[in-house]
Amino acid sequence: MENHEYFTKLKSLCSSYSVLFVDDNLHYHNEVIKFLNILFKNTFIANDGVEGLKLYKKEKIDLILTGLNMPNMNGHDMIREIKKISPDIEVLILSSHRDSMTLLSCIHLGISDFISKPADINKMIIIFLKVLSNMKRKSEVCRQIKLKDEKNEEILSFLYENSMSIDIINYYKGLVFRSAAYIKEVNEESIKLKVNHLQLLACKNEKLAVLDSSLIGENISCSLISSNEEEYEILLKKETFFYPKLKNYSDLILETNQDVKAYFKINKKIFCKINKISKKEISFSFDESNCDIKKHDEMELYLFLDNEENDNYQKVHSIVYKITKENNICKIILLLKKDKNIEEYIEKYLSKREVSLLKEFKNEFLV
Amino acid sequence: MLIKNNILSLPLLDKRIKKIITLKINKEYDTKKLLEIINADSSLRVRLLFLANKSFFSFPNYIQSSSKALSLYGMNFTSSICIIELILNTIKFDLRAYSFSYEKYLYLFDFTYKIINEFIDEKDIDLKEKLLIPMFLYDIGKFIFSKIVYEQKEEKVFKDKFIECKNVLNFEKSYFSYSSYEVSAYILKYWNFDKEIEDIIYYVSNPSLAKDNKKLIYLLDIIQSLTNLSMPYSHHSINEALIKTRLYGFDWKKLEKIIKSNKNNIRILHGKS
Repeated sequence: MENHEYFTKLKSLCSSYSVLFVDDNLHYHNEVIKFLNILFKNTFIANDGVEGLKLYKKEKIDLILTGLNMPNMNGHDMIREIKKISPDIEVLILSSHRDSMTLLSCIHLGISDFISKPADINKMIIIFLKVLSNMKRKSEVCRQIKLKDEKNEEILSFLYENSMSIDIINYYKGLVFRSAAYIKEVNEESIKLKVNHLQLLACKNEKLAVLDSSLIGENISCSLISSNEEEYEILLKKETFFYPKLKNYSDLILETNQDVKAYFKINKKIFCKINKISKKEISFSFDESNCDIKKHDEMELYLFLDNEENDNYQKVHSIVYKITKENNICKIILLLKKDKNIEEYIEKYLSKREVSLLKEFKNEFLV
Repeated sequence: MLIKNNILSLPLLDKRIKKIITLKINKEYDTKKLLEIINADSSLRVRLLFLANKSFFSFPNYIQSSSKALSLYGMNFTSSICIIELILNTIKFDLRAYSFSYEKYLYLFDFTYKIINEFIDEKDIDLKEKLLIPMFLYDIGKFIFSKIVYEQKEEKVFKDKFIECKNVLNFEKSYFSYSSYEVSAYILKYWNFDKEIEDIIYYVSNPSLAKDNKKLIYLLDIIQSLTNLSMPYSHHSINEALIKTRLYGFDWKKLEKIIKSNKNNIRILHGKS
């Protein structure tokens, strides 16, 4: 009686869902239709892809069972159109041996499974059970995410009602500005904060900010709507919640100044522009026509960082981590091999660069 | 009313300041915790490294890490620098009405601290350490005054009168009915910063009325003469400071000698806009 148990389980899973059955030979599938009517809350029937698509747009449908070869619009085209509306919709194909090529193309669209014709009810039970269990698992995950979002919103309200602070983070060419902010107003879309003056300037410059509270696991990425320097207030639009990478001082990555020079050798010296630098990685760019470099290649970069005691290029051993090409420019990120001397060399540059960047920032934005 | 409204519109004090004050008071010398606070904020780290590598302090090698700077300066000095920097970040720096730029002000402050540090006896470590925060904070009231002057569009009138005044304290009292030191004390009170420092700053306007920390308040009075924003380290300002030094029972000849030996730095200060 195993199938009976599966059927009972399947019935309980299906009871809150609606299904769309599409086939041009419905009179051959009376058993299937009866089967669907018993299981599902609602069963919608269509004769071809056009009708199927129309019904899908009109009704709230959770699962689709469809044939492939149909007049007016075949199963493949109907699935493609429906997937444009709902990319995650579960689709089962009812296919015959002749449909194998079309079936293959449907797999690329993202179908859940297929059932061979003529449909065997016992096999259908197993397949439906698999698909419906998956649907239930997905909807539980979505529910948890929604609950977490609601919880995060509640925490923001909690912070506001109890006059507790939230950390606000901004960046200027790699410099990190971080301080406490107090919530003045919060709603679904936006959040108004009282911040210190330096943070307000940093936020005005970046037009973004990240909010971080120890009560929330994720950080909130926000965009700046407006600022009021007289009142030390900023109004932010909440964009996304995200899990931040762990950051500490050794991860400081700064934009470089013009005095930094570098080259590497492939047959000849190729000079490049250093974009960003940290003790662990260097990002640089150069003319794409010279790019004969692959990911994971070992590379020796000759680096000049304008440290007073040393006016020679320093050889930096590294591995190519990432390559991107855009508008005839090749951009590469290198991961540096551990070398105490190079680390110290770069650290000295970073500490001076931090000072000059902060001076630059304050000169530009402070009275 | 204008002054009160401006104070009430200020941001609340950064909670890290309270954390640092607690570290100072506990005397547990938890350098790890202090370094965590410093390293999480570029402005703190930069301020520390900038000071450590300034010619004033003459460390022989370039200091490139905050942990090294902390070990050279010690917990108390580093904590004080961080507190000052955090407060500078909190409130909008505004000395436009006094024709003083941010860069010039920092230079004046750093240079004056060097002078006073040399002046105070080595044995008086407590006094040296206690001096730093009020020495900076007592001027934040001027930011409010400067803001009000510009809001009221009185900058020309104010500047014309200010440039001629020989005593900033008296000038402020006649213009605003309060001295900037009193306003600084009110700001600290609004922030619930530290009662002792509030009182020290409040009594700089009237040192004779102070009951506690008299030596510190007298020193601050001497400093405010030296650093008179209308003519810092001018012949008149130095003279007034030396008179007060003698009056308060300090070694005025020592101070005179130290100031003379820093003529170059004074020249640089006068050259800054």
